Amino acid sequence: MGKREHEVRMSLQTLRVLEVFLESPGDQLAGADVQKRTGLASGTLYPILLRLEGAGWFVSCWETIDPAVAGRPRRRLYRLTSTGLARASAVFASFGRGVPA
Amino acid sequence: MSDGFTPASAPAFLSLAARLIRHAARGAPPALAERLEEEWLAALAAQPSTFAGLSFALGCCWATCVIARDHRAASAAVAASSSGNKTLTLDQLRSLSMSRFRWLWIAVGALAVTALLMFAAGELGELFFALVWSHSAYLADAWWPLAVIPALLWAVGVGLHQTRLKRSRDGGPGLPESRSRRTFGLSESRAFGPAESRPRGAFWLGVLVMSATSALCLVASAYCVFTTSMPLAGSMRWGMALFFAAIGIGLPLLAPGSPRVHRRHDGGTGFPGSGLR
Repeated sequence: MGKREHEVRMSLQTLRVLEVFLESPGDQLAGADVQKRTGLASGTLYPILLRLEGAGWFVSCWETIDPAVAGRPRRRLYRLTSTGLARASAVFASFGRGVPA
Repeated sequence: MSDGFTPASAPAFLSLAARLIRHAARGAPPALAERLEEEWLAALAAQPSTFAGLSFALGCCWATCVIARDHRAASAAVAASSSGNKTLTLDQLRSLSMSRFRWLWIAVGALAVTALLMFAAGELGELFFALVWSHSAYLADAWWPLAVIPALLWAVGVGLHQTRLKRSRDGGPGLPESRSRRTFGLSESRAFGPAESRPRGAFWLGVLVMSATSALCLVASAYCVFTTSMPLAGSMRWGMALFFAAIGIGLPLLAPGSPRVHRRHDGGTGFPGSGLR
C-alpha cells in the first residue's frame, strides 16, 4: 500500500486509535498496546493501523531489542508522522467545531 | 497466561492460536505476510490470557480478510489509474467483492452456528440422544432421504461438470463450447482462467462436506428405518429441513463455477468495462 492516498475513512474505531496516538504524539506504540488502550479487537485494529500507515499517517518499524535478552519477540512499533499528526489534529478539531448547520 | 482453562490445556490452545495466526498471515498480501506473522505472534505473546490469545488469533483471521480486500482495492485503483482507464474490469470488480471461497466459508460457518444453537436449545441434543442411545426412529421420517437426494445430485452433478470442463481445458472433448456458453455465459477460458483457480479448492471442500453430510444422513436413515417408528417433532423437522435446504441450494450457488454466479456477472447490465482481460 503506497502513500498515495491521504484520505482515510473516519470511523469511530479509527478515531479511537488516533486518539490514543494523539495523547502522546511522539510515542511509539505496539499494536498490543493500542489494543489494550482502545479495547478494539485485533480484527478491527490491524486493518486500521495498516490503512493509516498506507495513507502516510503512521510509520512503523521493528523494535530494536534482542529477543533472547528481552525474553520476548520484537514488536512492531507505530508512530504518528507529522502529516498524520496534522491531519488527526484537524479531524479532532473539526469535531470540536461541531457540524455546520 | 492464566485463565479458566486448565494448565494442561493452555499450551494446546496457545499452540492453536499461533497456528491460526500463521494461517491468517499466509492469506495476507505477500508483501505483508511475513511482517504480519511476526507482528501478530509477538502480540499474541503479550495477551493477558489464553482466551484473549484465542480471541486475538481469530481476530487476525478476520483482519487478514480486510487487509487483503484493502490491498486488492488499492491495486485495482493503481492499475486503473496507470492505464488511464477510469472504469474497472470485471475481474477487478470481482476482486473487490468477497470471493465465493469466503462466502462458502461463511455459509458453512453459519450452518455450524445454527447447529450449535439448536444443540444449545436442546433440539439437536435430543436428536443425538435419540440416535445414539435410545435407537428410536427419530431420523426415520420420510424427509431424510428426500433431503439427501438434492445434496447428492449437487455434489455429483457439479463434480461431473467440473471434470468435463477440466477435460475440455486439457484438450479433450469435455464440455461442448455451446453448452459452456449457455451454462456459464462466459467462455471457459475466461470463466476458469488463473483468476478462478484458487476458489476451486473451496469447491472440493464443498463436495467433501456435502458427501460426508449426505453419507451420515443415509447411514442414520438406514439405521433408523430398521428400528421402531416415531414421529419427528415439528420444529425439528422444519429446522433440519431448512438446514439441508441451505446446504443443498446454497452451496451449489456459492460454489466456484456456479452457473448462477457467472450469469450474474455476465448479465451485461451496468458493469462498465465488462470486457474480460
